[in-house]
Amino acid sequence: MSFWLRRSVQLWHQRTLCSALTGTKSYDIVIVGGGLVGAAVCAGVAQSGSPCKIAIVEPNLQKFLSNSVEQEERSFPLRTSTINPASQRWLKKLKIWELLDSQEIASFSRMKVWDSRSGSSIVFHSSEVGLESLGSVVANDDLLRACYRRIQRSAMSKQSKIDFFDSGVDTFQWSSSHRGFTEWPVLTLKDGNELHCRLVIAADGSNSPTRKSANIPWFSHYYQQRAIVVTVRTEKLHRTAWQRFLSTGPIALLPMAGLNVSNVVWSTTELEASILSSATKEALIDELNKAFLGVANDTILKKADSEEYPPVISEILKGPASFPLVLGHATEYVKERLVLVGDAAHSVHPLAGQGVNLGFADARCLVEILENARMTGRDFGEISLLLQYQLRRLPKNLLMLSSLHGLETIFSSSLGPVSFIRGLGMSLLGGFIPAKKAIIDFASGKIE
Amino acid sequence: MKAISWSSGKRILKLGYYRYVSEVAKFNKHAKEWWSPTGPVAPLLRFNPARIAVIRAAIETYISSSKELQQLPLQGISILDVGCGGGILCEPLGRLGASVLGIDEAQDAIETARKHVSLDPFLGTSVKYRLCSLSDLVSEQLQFDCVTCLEVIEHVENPQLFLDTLKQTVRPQGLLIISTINRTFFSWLSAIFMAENILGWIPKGTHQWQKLVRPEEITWCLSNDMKLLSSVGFAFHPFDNTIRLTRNLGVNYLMVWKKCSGNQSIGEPVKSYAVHEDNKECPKREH
Repeated sequence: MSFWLRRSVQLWHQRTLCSALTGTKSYDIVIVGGGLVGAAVCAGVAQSGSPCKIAIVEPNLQKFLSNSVEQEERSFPLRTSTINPASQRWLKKLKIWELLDSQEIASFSRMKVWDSRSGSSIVFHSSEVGLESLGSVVANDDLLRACYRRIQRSAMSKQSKIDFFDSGVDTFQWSSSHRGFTEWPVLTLKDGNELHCRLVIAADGSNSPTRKSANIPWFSHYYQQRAIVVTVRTEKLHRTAWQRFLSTGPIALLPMAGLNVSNVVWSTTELEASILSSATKEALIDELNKAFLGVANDTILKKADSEEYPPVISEILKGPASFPLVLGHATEYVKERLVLVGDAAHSVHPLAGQGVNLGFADARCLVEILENARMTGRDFGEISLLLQYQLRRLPKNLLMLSSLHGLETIFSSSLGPVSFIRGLGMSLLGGFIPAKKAIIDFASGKIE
Repeated sequence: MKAISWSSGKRILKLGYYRYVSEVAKFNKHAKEWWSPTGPVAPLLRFNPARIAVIRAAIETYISSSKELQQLPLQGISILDVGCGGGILCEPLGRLGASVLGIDEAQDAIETARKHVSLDPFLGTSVKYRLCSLSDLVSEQLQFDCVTCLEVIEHVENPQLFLDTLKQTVRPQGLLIISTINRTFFSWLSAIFMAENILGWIPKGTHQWQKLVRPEEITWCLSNDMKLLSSVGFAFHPFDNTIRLTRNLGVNYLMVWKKCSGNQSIGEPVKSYAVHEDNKECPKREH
């Protein structure tokens, strides 16, 4: 009898501990997609110490939650994010940044952009605008792990209750809104759980199934291009972000943490991308060096002056991998009890590394609005509340999206006059500090 | 605060003679629209966050309780919302942790309120609604830590009698929070002429200017056994569509009253909702 009793108590404890138990659960917030932006929203809401019930639904959660301690000896990361000063400030405020190892962050204080055809260039320096750095390159995995460590710590010490669901969403059940009466949406997960919540935050990327299920229109433009990412070792140490506009698209070399490690993002035509992806390492190194240092007749310019030109690439450490380049934007960010953040709301060209920064800006704005709403006991799912978020974020995101698209268009044009004006424009800009300052302020998220 | 003028006090006594429009029927008509962000109550919904911020601040400042143990800011506070309508004030207060009772005499409004609160499983039992009048609660001798009465007094037949009854539902040392529209030229211009006739935000005939109540008149009725702690005005900023707090009580205003201990008007011992024991003196009015 006593065994039976003890066993049933044990089972009961397992039942409450195990989040994967089937049944309907109610939450204040369900975050669909636990990538960088989703995790940052979660950390932000938990940070405010609100007694909120939050659920994160992410199929790869187990990987993110696993502690880095006994990870397979660090292989070189491939996917990185350039965190601009504004995002960095916010991550510091959320105490996520401090959880990153200083060896995982590579900040750069100088950026050089030059055009392969006109030869004109422009150099940005953080000291020109009084910033500490222009940005920091962090491996996505490292940043994600820091976010989850912060979430777990807040879940332990603060009042927020956070549940993790290691699964995807199977079906969404939205109910129509009538005179301010909107029933809570029900999300059925692939593992059988049913989540019932006040507000769904969709952070599930540009292909967002959540957005599609809510019938929010999405317009997109495919650039007919792919971006290739490679992690490389350079011959010399550098602390500059290099970006060169080739006739086929921009190529960027970003310093990463580690001994002479850098990350290359090369946007190019689909054909060239497929050739490069299947090329041998030696051939790829050759192509990369040509892309950065090559001149018209395919001879590599080996300048000793490392301030002017990027260092020569000597080794491929990881990659290549490639992904398609799509510009996309949702026609609205909010619906009753639904809000889109990050790439689910907008996807931009990676040429200035702005994607994740826009996502963090969305997250920061949303967290702020939810925090204000909580102070006055408002329902998080109210459309009038969520519209504030759309009102604040949509114009800014559209501005950035169109600026990047404009840059891409100007630099991909091979028309003589455009090319000439481009070169002239860059030279003029390069000598005019206020204009440079304005550009940096815009790119670093300083303009609020 | 201006000195209480006797003429304005007398005016309140006279208000009962004004033509009585069936106010309850008027509110029943729009009962289904209480939560609609585009309906006739939408301006009230817009005022809501600002008013809740003030109410929350008043309760936190003047009704002290041990904050460390609480998860929610208003936990353990009992609130009565008189004229709750569709429950647009009750639900947020409930979410802040208070146990709220909303009463209204319009049946449809109460039904709307009950239906809406049932959508939110987290509110559970903390928000309740009753179809009854204020005097029913008085006869049941119920008292609350805080009684809120927002945008109601301008719709009642006899404000003085109403305020007298309202007082009796507040526990000693409890708060009475009244919000209404002032009877000034500007209130006529903005709350009636602009909002009803020009912009069409609220249905025509919602407010009669003659029935609006001035702060002095409320003071005249309440100052016997209650103390005015603070009063604040609300201003609508048309450019950014927000509501801000102001010192100007010219249009919409809110007053926070505290009931002084030892209320003689009730006389007999009362069954109290109140859970707090603090016999401190009423704090001095803050400027």
